[in-house]
Amino acid sequence: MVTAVTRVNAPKSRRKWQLASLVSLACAIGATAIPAKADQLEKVKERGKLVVGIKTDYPPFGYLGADGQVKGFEIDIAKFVAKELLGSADAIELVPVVASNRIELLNAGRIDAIFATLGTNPDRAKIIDFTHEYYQMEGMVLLTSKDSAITAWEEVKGKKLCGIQGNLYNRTLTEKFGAETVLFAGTAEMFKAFQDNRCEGIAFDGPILNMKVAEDGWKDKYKIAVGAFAFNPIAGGVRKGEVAFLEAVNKAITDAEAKGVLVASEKTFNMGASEYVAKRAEEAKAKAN
Amino acid sequence: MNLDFSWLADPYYQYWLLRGLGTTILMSVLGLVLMMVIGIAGALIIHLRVPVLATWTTLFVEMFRNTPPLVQLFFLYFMLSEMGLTLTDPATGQRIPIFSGFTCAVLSLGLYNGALAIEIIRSGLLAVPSQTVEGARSLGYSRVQTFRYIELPIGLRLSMPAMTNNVVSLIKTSNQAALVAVADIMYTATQIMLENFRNLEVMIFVWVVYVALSSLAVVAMRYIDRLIRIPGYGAVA
Repeated sequence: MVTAVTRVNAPKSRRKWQLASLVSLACAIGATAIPAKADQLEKVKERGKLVVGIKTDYPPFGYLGADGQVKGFEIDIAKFVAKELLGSADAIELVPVVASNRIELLNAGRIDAIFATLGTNPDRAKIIDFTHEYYQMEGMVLLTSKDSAITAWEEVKGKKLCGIQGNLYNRTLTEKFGAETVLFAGTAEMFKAFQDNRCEGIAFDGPILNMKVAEDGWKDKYKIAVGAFAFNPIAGGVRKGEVAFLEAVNKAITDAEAKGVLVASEKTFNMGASEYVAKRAEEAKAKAN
Repeated sequence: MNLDFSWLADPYYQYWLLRGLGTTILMSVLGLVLMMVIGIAGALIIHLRVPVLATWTTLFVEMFRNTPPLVQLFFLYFMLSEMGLTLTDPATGQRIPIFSGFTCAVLSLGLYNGALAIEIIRSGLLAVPSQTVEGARSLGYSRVQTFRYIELPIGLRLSMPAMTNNVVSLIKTSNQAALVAVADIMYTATQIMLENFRNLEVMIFVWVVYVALSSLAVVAMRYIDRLIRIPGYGAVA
């Protein structure tokens, strides 16, 4: 008797559950569509920790050192920002990101800011806010084997070139120069595929390839065949519309420049003293006085 | 929430997506063929207890069924050349890996789902009533003839529902080829997402494509199932 009753009721209650789950799903979707209006700066201060998206496979900007610590040019910046905002360089959580997920992670609220070799461009500026630019990144260069005949970007037509998904210049490479790109998510896969001769060259950001080609095991076999076809300033990224937070981060970056943190960092990580960083330090100092 | 699908009108993206879809379908079809060949051959060997080979086949099943397909794909793509499996490219004279990214993807799909297919077909073979098998034997069919004319035809029919699952799983697993730079639908979708940041819309599109592909496969399998059904055997769909 009891079983009969429950059996009769079962479909109805199930329908109710389905409805409830549908409603909650709709709410969840609706909630993500409406950007949180709470002030980001307040939230970070309340939490007492700055959550930053950084690279871990991209020396000298952000990489895992031999001692197991994440370090690099941008890690120094991130730590300085944390110190300015929260009073301690250790009040920071470093979240490893890659080019293809960093903006998504930021806009999903998983991280407060990006310091991960983020090149500025108008498309990106539509969906996130850039902080002050702090480095002039050598754009895409081409690394090939020593005996490669390629000497100009115009000669890569129809050739297979390894690269990273989400790089700013990939489209230029295929549309303008007609290369066939073989793109990976991380640099380790890219280097391995190239060493296996799956592609004739690596087309990727200058700093990392310049460093790679100087490494043992690479320097006698490979060369930078073609130089950068563009330079692009890199900057930090924060969610759109967080005015107070952006201002605080910008102030911290300017302070870092004025105090010579970036110039020192360039030296620590053997990046060579770039004119751009030196000039920005001068300007920041002049502004501070 | 306003969805913007205007990027679908970009001819460059249309070309990418169509090519990606073509790659996904071709990869899945080739993977399916390899899967069926491995499945039937493996089931035959284990079922007939072919000496030595049966042990190797069991080892094969355990190895490929019990490791993630992505690990297998990375092994084929990155490790084989490390172990010296290379050939000389006639055009450039360089040593290049023996398998291209596409071949690696097809192989990994065929091997992983093939290992599962062996077990699925074997379960079908074991479900063939022993009276039927004994009847065939007493009529003078040899062991191999019994397999060919009695056990395999009935066993394959009995394994259709489980095999449908395996086929759908293969189609869905094919998207990991994007991780070794095979330009399938997932790879092209990632490219588009990184350019226009319309993540939600592109993901919805990819979702619809995979639902369509899988549903098509399910319908086709049901059709085949109905076509070859023997009255009295197997569940009525």
